[in-house]
Amino acid sequence: MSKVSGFILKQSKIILLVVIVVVASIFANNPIENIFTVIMSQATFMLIYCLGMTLAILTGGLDLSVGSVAAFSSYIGATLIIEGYVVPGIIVALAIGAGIGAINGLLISKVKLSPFIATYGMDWLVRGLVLFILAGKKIFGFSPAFTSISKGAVVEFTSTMKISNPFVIALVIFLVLLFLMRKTTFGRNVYCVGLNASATRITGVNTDRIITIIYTISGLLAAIAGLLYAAVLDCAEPNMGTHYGLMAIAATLVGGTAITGGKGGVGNTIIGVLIMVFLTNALAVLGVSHLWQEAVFGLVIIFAALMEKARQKQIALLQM
Amino acid sequence: MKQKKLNFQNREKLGLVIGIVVLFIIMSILAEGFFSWYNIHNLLRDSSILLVVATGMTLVILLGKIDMSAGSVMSLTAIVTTILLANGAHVVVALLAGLASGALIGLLNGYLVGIQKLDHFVTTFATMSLAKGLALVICDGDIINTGNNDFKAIGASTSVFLGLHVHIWIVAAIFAVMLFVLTKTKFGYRVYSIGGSEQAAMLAGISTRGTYILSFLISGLTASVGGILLASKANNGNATIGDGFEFSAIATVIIGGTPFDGGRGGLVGTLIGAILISLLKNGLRFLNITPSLQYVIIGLVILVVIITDVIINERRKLEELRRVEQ
Repeated sequence: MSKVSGFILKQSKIILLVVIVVVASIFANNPIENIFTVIMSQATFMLIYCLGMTLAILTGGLDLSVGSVAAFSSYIGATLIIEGYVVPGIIVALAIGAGIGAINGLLISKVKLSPFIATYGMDWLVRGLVLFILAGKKIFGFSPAFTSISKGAVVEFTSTMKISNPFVIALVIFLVLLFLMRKTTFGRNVYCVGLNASATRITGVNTDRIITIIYTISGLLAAIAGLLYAAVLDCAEPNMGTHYGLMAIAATLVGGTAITGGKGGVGNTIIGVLIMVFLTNALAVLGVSHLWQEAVFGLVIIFAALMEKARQKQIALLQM
Repeated sequence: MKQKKLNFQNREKLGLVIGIVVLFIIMSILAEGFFSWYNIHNLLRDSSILLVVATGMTLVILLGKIDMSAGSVMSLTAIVTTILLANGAHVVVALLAGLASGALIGLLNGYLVGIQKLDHFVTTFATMSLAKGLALVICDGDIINTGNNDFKAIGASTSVFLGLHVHIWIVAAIFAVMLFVLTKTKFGYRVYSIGGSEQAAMLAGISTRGTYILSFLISGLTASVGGILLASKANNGNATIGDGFEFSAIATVIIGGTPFDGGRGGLVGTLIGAILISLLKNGLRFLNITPSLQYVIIGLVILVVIITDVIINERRKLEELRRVEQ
């Protein structure tokens, strides 16, 4: 009995994922095609900015500015890309994302702002800038050179089932981050900062630099996600990504990364992202109004945080 | 020593008041029509809505926590109240239901933070999306017109009592009660002592759970009142009515001299902060600055204020450490 319950507790996220996928598949018209579309057109984009959020949460902080950073950087990039400067536009967009991320990191590490306040304030500020500069305008009609980045595919089975470019990009980013977090001193230090920042500083690690780098990566990934979205929708618009922060926190916490920092990892986030996208998908195929999404995400975060708390309590009991 | 500290806090407040006066004089010179009873009355009315939300927020920040859900609770309350009115409910029933919705979110916050000991940022961020999501579901994404004259009477610009708008009286009454509660009752002392040091308060035998729950409940209720006032002003409700209001409320409290660490500050500072922020918003509108640029400027001002506050507090902590070492 204890073996079974132990297995269920340990693999609870996988079991939850399987249940959700099965439910979504039963009600979908074409289950296999449905699974393919959800993974290729939703999970890959989401994974990219969720990985940035995961790194920030691992250091014991979080990054609420991802949505507005994605909108701002892709918009500025789009103004160049629409003029035909595709590569410079992409570089500028990535630089803006990384730059805003670096400012976040400096505000948190040097000014000692709470990560929440720093990135939430930044979110408002950047969103205001986007609205001000765009004045409600949308940019669309990009050249194929840009849109093919998102619309192209590496392997195409049928017109709807294919291994898309963004999937490969997300996979590469994931593998790089996995290597960085698992096999390098930097990655180890990120976990140490999350567990106990002051103790890590005393041992001689430059914690300020680690935090700044992490938020820079998060900003960069947000910019990549923004560009890929702009390419696939063939449109850069001011309201892009208003829910990114919320969804990324939900996916990271559901994946099992602790909000207190230092526990979990980028691997967990893949499962978290899959749970979130298939949950959204299941709600959609069941015919639930999309208006429910925001409330459901809020409940999912609370539930995940409560589960994490219960697990910590259990571990504490075992150690006694 | 204590005398000195009091002087310091009073000096901070004096600085804010001088800031308000200077800003007021500059605006009166720059903008035509700014210095008129009509505009000043309007300004007081705007600041009263901000003040009532910031009053509850002050309690939570004094505890060293934050309530991110305040803005969404305003939206939820506005929607619950207006949809009941639109369906013909009595105005008292609709108002009570609106307040109850805010109270429920407040209780949930208090339970999760006070008893389950979850992180207050994440908890209130989650309830923020929960409240906003519920508001969206209830109104189906629409704007709801009440068509109710009793409700309209609360917010109509003609509803003036003894020279001041009804909104101002309502908020003044709530503010007075909360000022009394915070400075003269056991609950108020508990809030300050838990904010100062939760562990010390617990060791002294103070029930932290009850204080957390009650504080978040009050914060939910004051946000609800803010939502009702905002909805009554427009005589309709929509699910984005309170978007970003939590940010203004937090900034009001911080500008008013209650730091994020908790344990210090109070409601008088919040009152001054509310007037300062409303003055800033009102002034920008008068200078014909586009709404999206207003948004950026106010966000920037708020961020600068918060950053300065954090830096000053860090310095103070370092100085106190140095004093201990000496």
